[in-house]
Amino acid sequence: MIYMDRRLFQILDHINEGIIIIDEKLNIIYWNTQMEKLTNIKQEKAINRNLYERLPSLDRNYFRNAIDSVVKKDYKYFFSSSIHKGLITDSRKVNVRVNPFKIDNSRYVLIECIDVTSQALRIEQLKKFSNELYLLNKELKEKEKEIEKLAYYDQLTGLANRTLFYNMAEKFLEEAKRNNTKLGLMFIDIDQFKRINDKYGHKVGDQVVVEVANLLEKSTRKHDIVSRYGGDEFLILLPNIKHYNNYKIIASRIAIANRRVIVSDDIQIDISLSIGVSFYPRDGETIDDLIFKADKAMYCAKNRGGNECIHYITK
Amino acid sequence: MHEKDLTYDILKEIFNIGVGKAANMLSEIVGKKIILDIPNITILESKEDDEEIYKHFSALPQGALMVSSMKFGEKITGEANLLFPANKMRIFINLCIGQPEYMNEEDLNFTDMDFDIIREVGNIILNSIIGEIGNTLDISLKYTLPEVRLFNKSKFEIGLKDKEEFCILLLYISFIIDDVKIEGAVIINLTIDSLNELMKMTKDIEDDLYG
Amino acid sequence: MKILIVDDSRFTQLTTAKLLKNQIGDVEIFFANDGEEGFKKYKEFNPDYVFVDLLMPNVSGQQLIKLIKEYDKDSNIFVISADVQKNVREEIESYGVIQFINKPFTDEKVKLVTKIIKGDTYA
Repeated sequence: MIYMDRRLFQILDHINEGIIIIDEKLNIIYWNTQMEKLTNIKQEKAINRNLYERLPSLDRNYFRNAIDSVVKKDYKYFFSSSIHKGLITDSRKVNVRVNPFKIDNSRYVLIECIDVTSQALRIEQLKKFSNELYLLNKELKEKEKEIEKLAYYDQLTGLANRTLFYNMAEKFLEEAKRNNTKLGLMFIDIDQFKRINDKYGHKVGDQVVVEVANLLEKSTRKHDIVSRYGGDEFLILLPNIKHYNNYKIIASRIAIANRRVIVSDDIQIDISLSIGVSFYPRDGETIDDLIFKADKAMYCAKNRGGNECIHYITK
Repeated sequence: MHEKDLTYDILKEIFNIGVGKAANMLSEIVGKKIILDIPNITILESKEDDEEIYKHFSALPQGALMVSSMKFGEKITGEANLLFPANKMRIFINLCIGQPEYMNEEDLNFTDMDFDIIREVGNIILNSIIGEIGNTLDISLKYTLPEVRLFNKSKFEIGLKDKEEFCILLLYISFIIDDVKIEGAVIINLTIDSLNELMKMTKDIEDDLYG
Repeated sequence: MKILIVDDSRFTQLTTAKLLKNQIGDVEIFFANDGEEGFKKYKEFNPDYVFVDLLMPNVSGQQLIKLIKEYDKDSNIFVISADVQKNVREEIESYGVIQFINKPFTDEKVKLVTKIIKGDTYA
């Protein structure tokens, strides 16, 4: 039996952490007051009992191996409360430190049990708070995106609006100037749109606009920008057109696309489109030039009866 | 020292066994299989030029580092540091406590509880590795419990270079747990005397084997 | 008796050989540095016992054991491994090896091994 000054044990009784001392044979030789509080096991019921018998929660393979290395190899161990739930007690979060020591050629193991329940609780609260902030932040970012969408996209069709069109058009024009490439611009107007509106009402008119938007998106290339310029007018930017005549490929895709809008069982509307095209550098140096000329070409198409795509011709 | 030297091979095998034991204990604690890789070691002495040392350090994990440091002493004296890239630690910590969290995984704000987990893991790995040196050479060593700190990689390098007359055993370890690959390093700073002692003892083993 | 030791560590090759020689005496020992070489030498020398490490470059110990067992289902294999996780051990034991031994290979462990080998021989 270890010889220790009783007064030392009395001091350990006032320490704010649980202390167990065991001998080499794993018998408990000291158990302080704080241990009593942690486990509800009285000193006199613990002393001279086997550690694992008294605290069966410690009887885990890795803990046994750890104690073995502490006794035989002077290792020290630390067991954190977050990984090892219920190592000492189920009701509190306890960090456990295991240290060897030697007195008069006998080996002992000091097991310190540090109650971190209140810290853990505070950290949990902080984590919860931080998670809430994270989620709130995410939500705000999504809102921001929505607001941005409102500013740059047409609400009815989801296409780029005028603002985004001008931003992109300037960008593409600069690129075309820098790289000596061609930029095409299509001006599209729905034929007889006013009549459709008058005959079937604005709701059907909106439906037609949406169908045309979808049709244009499907008929264009990946990097082309389709935008709603206003009412029944659409503008398409065609960057990197290799030959002026290549617009015809896109025009023919638009021409063969399904243009029948089914409003109800009785009402079906066949839409036709008038399209004018202009190009940088052939037809103008600025976006306004290009729009003006594409618009002119579109009117030519309209005057010839609509449902046609023609490019601007200098007189 | 040349990689084909037996001394080098002995050290490598000692670390191999140490890492294996650590993985065994960790896998028991977290209840998951750990897939191990063959560790690689390098020995650097302060007489080598800065460029050579820098070359080895540049292979360490990048960015912020989570470093556990443990001192050991008696016959061989030094300090062992376990380095993990901090950005992998959030996932690793969540794995250890078996708790998926919806928090940002790149979050580098660690709580005391998180540090405790790394302290425990660091303790297991460093104990096993240093302990295996003691086992093989049949010497007893005294250890401290590790301290855990978050470092910027460049600061950590400067801290190491400030130590005069050092020599370093650099050991790369990598393991996969639950499909997460974690690559770290163990840096063991030894005094020159201790390295010589270590070399002498491994030489003895070598002589014994060939003798 | 012929024994093949497959390990990427020269140190373990030598200590294993030395320990076995001390206990068994009359024994011819061959070495291989990885699984690939190990299988080649197994076919070449047809050893009575093989000692295999698990964590090796090229062909791993696991793969080598499978190859040897496919080639010769009566082969006698001991595993000496640093990877001592329970599930690794169980997987390897399911391949029909004689014994799974944790590294390092020591005096105590070699005595157990020789007991098994001698039991085999004189049974």
